[in-house]
Amino acid sequence: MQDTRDQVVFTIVAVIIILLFLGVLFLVMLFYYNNKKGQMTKEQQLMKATFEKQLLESKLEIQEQTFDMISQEIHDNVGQILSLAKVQLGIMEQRHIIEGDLVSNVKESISLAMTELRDIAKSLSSERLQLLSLPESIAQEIKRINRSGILKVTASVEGVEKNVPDHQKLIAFRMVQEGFQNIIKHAGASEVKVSIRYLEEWIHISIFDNGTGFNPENELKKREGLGLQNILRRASLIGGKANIISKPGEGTTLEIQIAYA
Amino acid sequence: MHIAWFEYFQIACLVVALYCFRRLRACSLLAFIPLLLIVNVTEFTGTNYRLFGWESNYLIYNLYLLASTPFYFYIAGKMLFLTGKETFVFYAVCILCLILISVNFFFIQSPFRFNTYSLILFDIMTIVFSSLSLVRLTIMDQNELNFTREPFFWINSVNLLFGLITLVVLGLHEYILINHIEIAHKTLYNAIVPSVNAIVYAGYSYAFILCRTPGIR
Ligand SMILES: Nc1ncnc2c1ncn2[C@@H]1O[C@H](COP(=O)(O)OP(=O)(O)OP(=O)(O)O)[C@@H](O)[C@H]1O
Ligand SMILES: [Mg+2]
Repeated sequence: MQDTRDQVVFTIVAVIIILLFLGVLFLVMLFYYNNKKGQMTKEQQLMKATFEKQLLESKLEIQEQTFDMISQEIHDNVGQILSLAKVQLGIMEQRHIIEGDLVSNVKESISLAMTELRDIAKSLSSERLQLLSLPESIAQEIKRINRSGILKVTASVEGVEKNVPDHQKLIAFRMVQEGFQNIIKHAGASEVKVSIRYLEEWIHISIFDNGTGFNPENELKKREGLGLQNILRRASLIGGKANIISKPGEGTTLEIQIAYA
Repeated sequence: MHIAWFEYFQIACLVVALYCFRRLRACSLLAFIPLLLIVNVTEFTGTNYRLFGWESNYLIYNLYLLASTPFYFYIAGKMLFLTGKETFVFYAVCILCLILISVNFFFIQSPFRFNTYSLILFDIMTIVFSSLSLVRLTIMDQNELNFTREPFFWINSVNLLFGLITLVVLGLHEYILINHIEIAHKTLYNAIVPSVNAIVYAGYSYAFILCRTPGIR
């Protein structure tokens, strides 16, 4: 009799322990899951923060670039044209006559200066980038470089245009700009070919220059400049890819891929 | 007159609840105050039933079961963050349970025998509700949820574990008494239930103290 009672006691105690165990296990699992979730949200927040920081940085860099460009344009173009107009006016003053030819020359110069100023004003607008598509912004940049006469840049667009989200577009544009800047600064190239291709799931941009070329791995390891590093980092940040293909003496190709959404 | 050691935990819990009145209101847990009053009165009369000249205290505990269940369910509903249809289903289930418990009280096991069926039903509902509540708490889209500082987590964990233990011990109540099932010369009931009670009410008290952020819920 005592024996069976012991059995019952043991069984009851065992059942209690098992139930408790299962209950505690359940709680532990919830705890674990919750922690995981917390970690994930933290990581996501961090990702978002870096993204926003990079976005802001890109915006500032584009702005800086724009200011440089404007000061150059004003100095080189508008300034030049207006000086010319001044000289022409000076000649008229000296001769004490108003010659039809000269007047029309002055008028032409001034209206040219006005067009230039209008162009500059347009490029100053901060919404410019958002209003234009990526190829359009790149085309503007190319136009500007071509005008400076240092390089000959040609561009081609293939495929049906698709929309790239604004933030991605801005960062991508900054990557392209950095590519151009590097070519102007380091490559000593005479010709640059830009190709933009709209593929099924992503847009593919490649910029080839026939300059000196370099060893990308070594340059990246040196960590002297920020340009190339920023290109790579930002590409991964917007869920895209960037590739720098170059060898000394063989020119450089910068390839950028960005998904549409 | 006698006060069992675990009753001090229940009294303390009531005191804490009264002290944290505002916080409880902020967490919509005010129903705990009447519930704890019932608990204290029941437990006091339950341990001192001989003073009143009664033969057993089953009637008191059966009445307790009848009176406290609505409050428990109400609190469980608050902690489940019910929406739309869920509210309807939840309260339908609760009312059904209450009817079953009443029927058992009046007609089946009678007021003078311990209502084990009612208790088992109540425990099952406690286990189900607290598990659901815990799952919902975990899955709910709230970023910074620190479980150790979350009152609902403590209340539900404690309820879950309490439900699991009492399901066996109190469910087998009569069997244990009749067969003199003992651990270390105490009935299984006396060996386990007081400690479990102490833990539960300590857990509640801690949870009440944690209810400090009015506005969050
Ligand atoms: N298109 C290119 N042709 C030849 N060399 C290049 C080209 N692009 C980059 N390089 C080389 O890679 C190095 C690193 O470029 P990176 O853009 O990272 O830095 P940087 O241009 O020197 O400085 P920063 O961009 O930060 O102003 C350059 O110093 C240059 O030697
Ligand atoms: Mg650079």
